Amino acid sequence: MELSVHDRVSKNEHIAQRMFDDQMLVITAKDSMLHKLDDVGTFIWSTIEKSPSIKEICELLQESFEGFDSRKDLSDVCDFVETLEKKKLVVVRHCS
Amino acid sequence: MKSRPSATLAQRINSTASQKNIPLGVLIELTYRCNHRCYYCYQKSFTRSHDLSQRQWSRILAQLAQSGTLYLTISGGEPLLKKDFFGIVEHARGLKFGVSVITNGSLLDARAARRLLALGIMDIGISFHAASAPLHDLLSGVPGSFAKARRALDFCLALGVKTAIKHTVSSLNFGEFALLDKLSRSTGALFECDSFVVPAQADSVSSYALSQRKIREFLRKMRARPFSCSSERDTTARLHCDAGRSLAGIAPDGAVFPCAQLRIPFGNCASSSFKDVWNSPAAQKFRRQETSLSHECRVCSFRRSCSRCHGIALLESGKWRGKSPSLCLHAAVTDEFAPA
Repeated sequence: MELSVHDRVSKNEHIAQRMFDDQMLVITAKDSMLHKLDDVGTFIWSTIEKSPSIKEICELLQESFEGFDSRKDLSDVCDFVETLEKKKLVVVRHCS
Repeated sequence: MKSRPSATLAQRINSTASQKNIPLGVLIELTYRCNHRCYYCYQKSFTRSHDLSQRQWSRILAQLAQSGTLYLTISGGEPLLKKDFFGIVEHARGLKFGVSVITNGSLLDARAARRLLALGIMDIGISFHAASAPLHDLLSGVPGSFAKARRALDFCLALGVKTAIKHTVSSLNFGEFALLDKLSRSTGALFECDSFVVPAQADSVSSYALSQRKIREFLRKMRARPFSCSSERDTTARLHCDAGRSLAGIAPDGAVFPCAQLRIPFGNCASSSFKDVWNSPAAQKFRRQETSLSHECRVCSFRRSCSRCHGIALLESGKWRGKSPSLCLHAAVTDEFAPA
């Protein structure tokens, strides 16, 4: 299902995570797969702590990253969240 | 997001952790109490007199998380004998550790397996001495222990928990590794097999250690697995170990070691902070010394095939940087299988 700006994102409960060398490492417990997030990914991951909507994630990115445009870069954020969902790192609650 | 095959990324992460002395993987022994009396066990005490409380472990776990620990292995003794076991696992998961548990399986019933699954643990290792009850029960010292271990394996696998059959090959159970390997394939379990037997007494080789002929036979039969041998360029690196850099072990009383098998004390994190112990003069001295192994090891012609373990060297010879009978014998035999 295509993501909308109102969809809310939360972390999969069954992950392990640690900040390591300024970047976030995340492991999915079921398959022990290790993932490393880059700077922006680490930032987005930190915002997911409070189960934000995609719109709220974009707003936080705009506040923190110069040049980030909520409207233009929305699709990149959606792609990233979809990747996290496919890898079972997050759960997306679809809200209309 | 960078997502690469786990082994490659894990190796790079481990290398960084080792360079920066980040204790990425820590094994904690919750208790030395055990309901088995395994023939080869190196524990000298089975009492709980110095076991830390759940509250003390909670404080230590928070400090480990701050220090960068991601992988937490919970072991013993038999860890499920500790009354606070599930509380400690729950706290560890709350701090987002990737938790592994090593157990003899005797107390891992369906309810316990479901609780561990609900807590999101990464994997469980269950010890097997043999692939059938008579020998396993004889070697664990407890009648009925094989049936319980086998049942625990089935519970975990049925629930979808990643589960490993853990096996130490010795002179008393030689040959069982092939049967356990087969069992792992038929059940979907992983198989983790070690052909070194940790000696129970200082300055001696375990009386259950494999002979040269049996090591050769073991390697020949297990050769379907990829051969592990270093190129000439990194043979020196192979002689070193990440223990005390990216790995640590913590005893039931809070004593911190480079590794659970390498009992060189860094200090005690029940009375000091883990960070202070990890950066203590004893820890720094160990890391300095670890960079200069004995001359005989550095020039040994079998070093490319050496599965160097400072812990076994210390136990067998009293000198952790030097040769040890088991390690040298294994290296010599392993080298026969190395590509020319």
